[in-house]
Amino acid sequence: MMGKLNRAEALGISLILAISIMTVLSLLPEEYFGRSSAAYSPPSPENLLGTDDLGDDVLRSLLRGSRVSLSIGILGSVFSTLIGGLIGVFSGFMGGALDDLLSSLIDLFMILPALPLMIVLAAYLGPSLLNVIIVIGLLWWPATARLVRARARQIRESPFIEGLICLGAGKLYIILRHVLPNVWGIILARFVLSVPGAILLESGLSFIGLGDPRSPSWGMMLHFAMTRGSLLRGAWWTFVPPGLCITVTSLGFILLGMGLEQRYKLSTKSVEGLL
Amino acid sequence: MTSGELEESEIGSQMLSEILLEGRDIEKRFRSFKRSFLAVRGASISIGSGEIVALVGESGSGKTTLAKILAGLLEPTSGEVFFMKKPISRMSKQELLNFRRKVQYIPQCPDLALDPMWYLYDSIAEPLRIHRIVNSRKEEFKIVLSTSSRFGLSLDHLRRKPRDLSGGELQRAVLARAMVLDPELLIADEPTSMLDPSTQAKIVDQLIEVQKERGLAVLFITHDLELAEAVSDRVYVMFSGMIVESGGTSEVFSSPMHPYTRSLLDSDPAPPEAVVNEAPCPFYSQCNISIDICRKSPPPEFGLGKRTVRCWAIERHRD
Amino acid sequence: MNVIEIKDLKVTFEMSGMRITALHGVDIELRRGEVLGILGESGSGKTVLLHSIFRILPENARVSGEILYRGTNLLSIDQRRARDIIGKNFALIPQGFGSLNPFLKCWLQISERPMEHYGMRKEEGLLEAKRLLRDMGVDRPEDVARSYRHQLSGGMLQRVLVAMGVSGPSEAIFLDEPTKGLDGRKKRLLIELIKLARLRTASMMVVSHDLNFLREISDRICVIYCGDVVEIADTVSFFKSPKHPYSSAILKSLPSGGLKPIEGEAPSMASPPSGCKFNPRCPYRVEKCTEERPPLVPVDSSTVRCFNYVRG
Repeated sequence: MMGKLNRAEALGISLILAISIMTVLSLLPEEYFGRSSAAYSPPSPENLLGTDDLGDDVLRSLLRGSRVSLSIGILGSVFSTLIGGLIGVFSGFMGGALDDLLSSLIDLFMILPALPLMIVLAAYLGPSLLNVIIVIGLLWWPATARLVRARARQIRESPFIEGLICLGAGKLYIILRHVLPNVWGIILARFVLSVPGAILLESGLSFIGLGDPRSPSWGMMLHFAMTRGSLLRGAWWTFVPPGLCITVTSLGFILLGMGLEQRYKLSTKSVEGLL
Repeated sequence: MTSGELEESEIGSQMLSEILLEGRDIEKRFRSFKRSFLAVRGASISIGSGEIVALVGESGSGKTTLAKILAGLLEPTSGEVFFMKKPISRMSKQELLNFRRKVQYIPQCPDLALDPMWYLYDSIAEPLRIHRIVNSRKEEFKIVLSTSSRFGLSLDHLRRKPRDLSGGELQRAVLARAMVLDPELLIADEPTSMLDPSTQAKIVDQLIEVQKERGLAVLFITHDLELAEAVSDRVYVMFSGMIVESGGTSEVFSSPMHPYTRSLLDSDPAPPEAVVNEAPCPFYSQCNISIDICRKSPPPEFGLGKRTVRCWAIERHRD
Repeated sequence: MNVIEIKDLKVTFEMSGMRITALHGVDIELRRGEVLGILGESGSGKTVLLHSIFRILPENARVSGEILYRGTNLLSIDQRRARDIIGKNFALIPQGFGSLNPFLKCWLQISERPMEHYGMRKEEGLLEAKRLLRDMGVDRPEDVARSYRHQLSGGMLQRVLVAMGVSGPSEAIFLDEPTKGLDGRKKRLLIELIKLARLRTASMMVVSHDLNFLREISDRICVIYCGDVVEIADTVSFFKSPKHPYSSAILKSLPSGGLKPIEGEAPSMASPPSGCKFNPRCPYRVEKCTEERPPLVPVDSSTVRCFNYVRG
C-alpha cells in the first residue's frame, strides 16, 4: 500500500522518528538523569545538557517537553482535520443549499485571525492544555475544509458517481465508500501539515506566558529561559535545545506532509486526464 | 392500412411486445447565466422487452442527453419517462430502487466510469452488494467471475485498478458491472467505440445471447450506422436534439425518408452539422426540400405504419 | 523504391524477470508514394512497430534487426543521431487531442518539427501554421493558430493534428490510431485531410484497427497478429479476397461482414501459442500449424504467412 517513499517522505519520517525516540526516552525513570544540582551549570557528563535556573536537568525537561508538544500538535491536528474533513466532504459533495451554508461558514472562520484570537481566548479561558487543543481545532479547520471541499466537488462531477447513482446507491453510501477513500489522501496530508503549526502555536503561546505552567513544553522552556535570565547569563543550553527541537519536529512533519501531497496528487487519474 | 395513408401515430401501437421504457415528448434545456441550450426537443422513444433498439446520431445530436434522461440521471425540462407504465419522477423509493436494478446505464467514456481507488472485482461486485442480492462471498465470486469472463475479463483483470487497464478493457468492465444484476434493459452509450473489430463482435454476440437467454432489451446508442444496422431490430435517428425518423431497421436503412437520414446513409462527405440555433426544424438550414411552413413551425411526427418521420415536406408531398 | 525497409525486426521486453516478445521478426517496406496501412488489434504489436521506427521504446526493450532509411540502420546508430535523422525526415501525427499540449498555442505545436530541425524561425513558424490551416479549409487560420487546445472544437483540433504532421518537409508521415473515438463526420473529415496531406510527402504509414478507414486511404494493407506479419496485400485484393484466415475472420467480424466473432481468445503476448500464432482460432489449421511458424510466401499479388499456401 505504501509503495516506495519519496525523498520528502523519507526525510520527514526519519526526523519524526528521532523525536518520537525522545518521547519514549522521556518515560525513563528519574535515576537516569542527573540530579538537581547547581543552577546554570553548563553541559557536563552528569547533565548532558546542563541545568536550568532551578538546577533541573535540561535534557530531562527537553524529553518531557517532547511529550507535551507532540501531543498538542497531534491532538490539535486530529481535531481540526476531522472537523475540516467532514465539513468539506459534505459541503463539496452534497452541494446546493448545504454547500452554500457551509461555504459561508468556512469563509467566516477563515477570516478570523487565529493567533490574536487564540491569545485572547487563552487569556480568557485560562491556560490549559485542553483549551489550547480545543482552540486549535475550532479555528484551524477551514483550510482543510476548503481543500477537501474542492476535491469532493471534483469527485462529484466524475462520471463514476453518476454510475453509482444509476446502480441505486444512496448518497450516504457514496460518501462513505467512494468519496472518503478518494479524499483520504488529502486529509492525511493536511493532518500532517497542521501538526507543526499546532506545535508552533502552542510554543508561541507558552513563550509569551499564556501557556500552561504545569506542562513543561518546549515553548515553556523558552519562556522560562527568557524571563528568568538564562539569556542574559549566556546559558545557551537552556534555550538552544528546545528551539532546535521545535524546528526539527516541525520540519519533519512538513517534509512528510509535502511528500504525502506529492504522492496523493499524482495518483489521481483525473489530473493526468487533463494533460 | 394502405401505404399511401399518413396518420398521426400513437407510439404504443408500434410495439408488439411489452413496453419497458418509454420517453414521451422529452425536452431538455440547459441553462447557464447567459446562455440556454436546447439539447433535446420533443423526443419520443420506447423500448420493448427483448428488443434491441438503436439510437443513431452523430456527436452533438443529443443522444447522450436523451439516454441519461431515460436512465433517470437527468430530469427532463418537460415530458416524462415511464418505466413499466409508471412515471419515474413519481416513483416511491422502493420502486425507484427496483427501476435502478432493472435498468442499467453504460456511459460513453469508460475512463472515469469506475472509482479509481477500487479494485475491478469490487466495482463489478458492487451492484450485488448494494441491492443485497447475494448472501455469501462465494456466491458473489461466482457471479462476478462468470459475468466478467463472459465479456472477456479474466481474474487477472479483476485484480487490477482502473488505471492499469486499457480503454477496451475498461469498457468491458463497465459492461460486466451493468450485467451482473441481470437487468431487463441496458442503455448503452457507444459501448463498443473503443474496441477492436473482433472484440466488438464478441461483445455484441454476448449481448445477443443474453437477449435470447433472458430477454434482455438494449438501447444501443451509436454513431456507427453499419453497427446499428447489424445489431438492431428498430432504429431511431436523431439530429440536433430531434428524433427525425424511426422504424424497423431494415426498412429505414433500405428506404430512408427524412433528408438527414438519407444524407447519413449516402456517406455524404460533408454531412450536416448539428445546429445550435432553435429554429423550429433544426435541419431547415441544410435542407433541400424545405417548404415555407418549415421555417415557422416544428414538424410533428407523422406515421406510416410502423415508421415515423418528422418532416413537413414529406407530409405535404404525400398530399 | 523504398523509403523505409524493416528487416527481421524483433522486439522483446524484460518485465519482472520475464521476457515478453512483442515482435517476432517483422519484414516490411514502406514504398515511395504509397500509403501503407498497418492493421492490427490491441496486443498485436503495431504500436511497438511504430515506436521502434521512432526509437521511443521504453528502457526495458531489447531490439534486434534493421530499420533502414537511405542506407542507414536507424537502430544501430546512437540516439542523438537517430533523433536527428528521424526528426528531419519523419513526421508523426499522434493519437487523439490529448497529445496536444494544453499550455502551448497551436501554431507552436504545428510548426514544432520544422522549427527544431530545419531552423525555421518563430515568425515563419506562425506563417506556416496559418498557411497549412487555410489549406485545410479553416476560415480564420489566424485565430485558430493562436488558440489553445481547449478553445477549439473537435473538427478544428483534427486539422491542427494533421497540420502537425504536414508542416515542414518530410519523407514519410506516420499516423497512430487516428480514428480512435471519432464519430462518422470526423472520420470523413479526417479522410479528406489525409488525402490533402498525402500531396505533401512521399509516403504514409497508418497504424489502425479501423478496417473501413484503412480501406478508404491505404494502397496496401499489412496485417499484424501477435507480433507477426501475416498478410501483405494491396487494398483492393485484400478486401475482395483476403488470403490469411485471420484476415477473412476479421473482415467477417465487422458489422458489414456479419459481426461474426472470431473463435477463441485473443492471444497473450506473454505466452503466445506455438507454431502459427493464429492456430488455436483457425478453422483451417492442420497439425503442422501447431508445431512450426509458417514462412511468408507469395500468393497471387499478396504475401501470406500460412501453411495452407505452402506447397508440400
